[in-house]
Amino acid sequence: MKTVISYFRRIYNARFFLIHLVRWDIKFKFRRSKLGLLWTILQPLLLTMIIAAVFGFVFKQKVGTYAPYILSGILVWDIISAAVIGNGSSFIQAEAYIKQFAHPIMIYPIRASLVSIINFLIATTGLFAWVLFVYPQNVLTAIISLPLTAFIYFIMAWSISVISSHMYVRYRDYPFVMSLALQLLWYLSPVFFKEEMFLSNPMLHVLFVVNPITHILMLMRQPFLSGCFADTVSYVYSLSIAAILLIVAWSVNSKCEKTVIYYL
Amino acid sequence: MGKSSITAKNVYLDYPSTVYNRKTLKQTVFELIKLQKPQKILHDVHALRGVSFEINEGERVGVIGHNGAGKSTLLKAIAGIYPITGGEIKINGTIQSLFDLSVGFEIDATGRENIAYRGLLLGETPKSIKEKTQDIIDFAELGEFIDYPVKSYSSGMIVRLAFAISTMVEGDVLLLDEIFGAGDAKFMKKAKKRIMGLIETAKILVFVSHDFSAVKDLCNRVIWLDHGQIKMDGDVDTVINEYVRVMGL
Repeated sequence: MKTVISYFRRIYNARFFLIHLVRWDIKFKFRRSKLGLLWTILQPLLLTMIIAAVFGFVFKQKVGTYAPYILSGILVWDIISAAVIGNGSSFIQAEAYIKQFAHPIMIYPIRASLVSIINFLIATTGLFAWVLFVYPQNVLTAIISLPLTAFIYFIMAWSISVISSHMYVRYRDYPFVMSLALQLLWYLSPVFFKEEMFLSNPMLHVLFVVNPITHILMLMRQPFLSGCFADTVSYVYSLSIAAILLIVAWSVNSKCEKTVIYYL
Repeated sequence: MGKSSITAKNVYLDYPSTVYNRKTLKQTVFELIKLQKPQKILHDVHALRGVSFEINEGERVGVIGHNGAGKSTLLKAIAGIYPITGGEIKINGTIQSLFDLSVGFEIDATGRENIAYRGLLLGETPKSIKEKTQDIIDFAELGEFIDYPVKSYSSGMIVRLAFAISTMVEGDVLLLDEIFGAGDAKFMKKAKKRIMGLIETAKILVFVSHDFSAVKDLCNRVIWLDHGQIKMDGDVDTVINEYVRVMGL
């Protein structure tokens, strides 16, 4: 326990640097772009339009209600895929810092996942706009539910980013393998697909129900699209997974932190 | 807090070779079917082997030795960047290290932004760095270029800026790794003066260098490292004279 507290103190001592890195990442992406930060909202929104038009046609869905379903899927999936793949390069990206300064290494995955969550929150305004249009009665529940949901997402993104960063720095095949694995997971998850599309096969439906992604998505979708909080099952499931991931991430980090520098 | 000190007891530091001994699938298969000679197995590099010393407040220690003797490794072990494989290092006081100055710049950001960026990296707060910004700009002699992206700087300008920022931050224990030779002659003179100022405020200096005259100017004790071990530790002239004699310089 004592080591955990002293580790957090070291992270806290590096807070100004950490905040600066995060701000830089959010702003830097748009340096010299005309629309700047607006892209964070526009990009998923426009992507949703395209997908809703195509999928709506293929699966015969109403675009007005199917679009926010897809948008919520994209927003959450972006966090997951960033945590598993993109954020994996957090140590490699920070090589110059790691080789010069003894800041706790955990701050680099924290940086990456904070950026994911902040981008998620910014992009969520696009979803709010849509919901205001089609389900105005859901907005209040959506707002109330968001802080806890974002917190759970952050813990997950942080833990996964720590693990993926340690994996990637040691095994450079990591992103290639994981992007395939992630693709598979995508097909098994209701990111764009609706529950009724998993009913064709009982096995597929069982997978749908036990798939953590389903429940993670519910935290977002129930309040925004149905106007009620997600089921207790979904909260308990998501929180337990976040807790397990955090414990795994912590133990991986305490075992591997010191030697990261040799793999850079 | 008490007095500043560095205590190293029987410190070992090995660079693991596993990283370099990894084979690709192609290598493994080709070696198996004898299409390729087996890769030479590299051994761990023993950079520090049983180094012990105690540095107390007021001491300014020069570390000398041939290339690869473990000088920079020792400095980075003290800074906590490389994990030691054995022994113990204890430090009382805050560490300020000046290693590779030009590393870690955001070249797309302006000079001014980079001052904030590096200042925070070095442990300053946004407030304290703001107070120091003008001094840094003046010292680096960048003029209006401070608001240009660092990308557009000459290498000399980058070094001047890096030096100005890094030496703005004070610490109890100052670790210097061969940083002279930055910028043109005029700036060098200024830089030397600045370093002297830093050394005066620091309670302990550990300075790695091949430049004996700099060591003689700055230090009151010298440690001679040879193949990861301390060969000699004592007053400046004695150790340097012996080093020069043995190395036939």
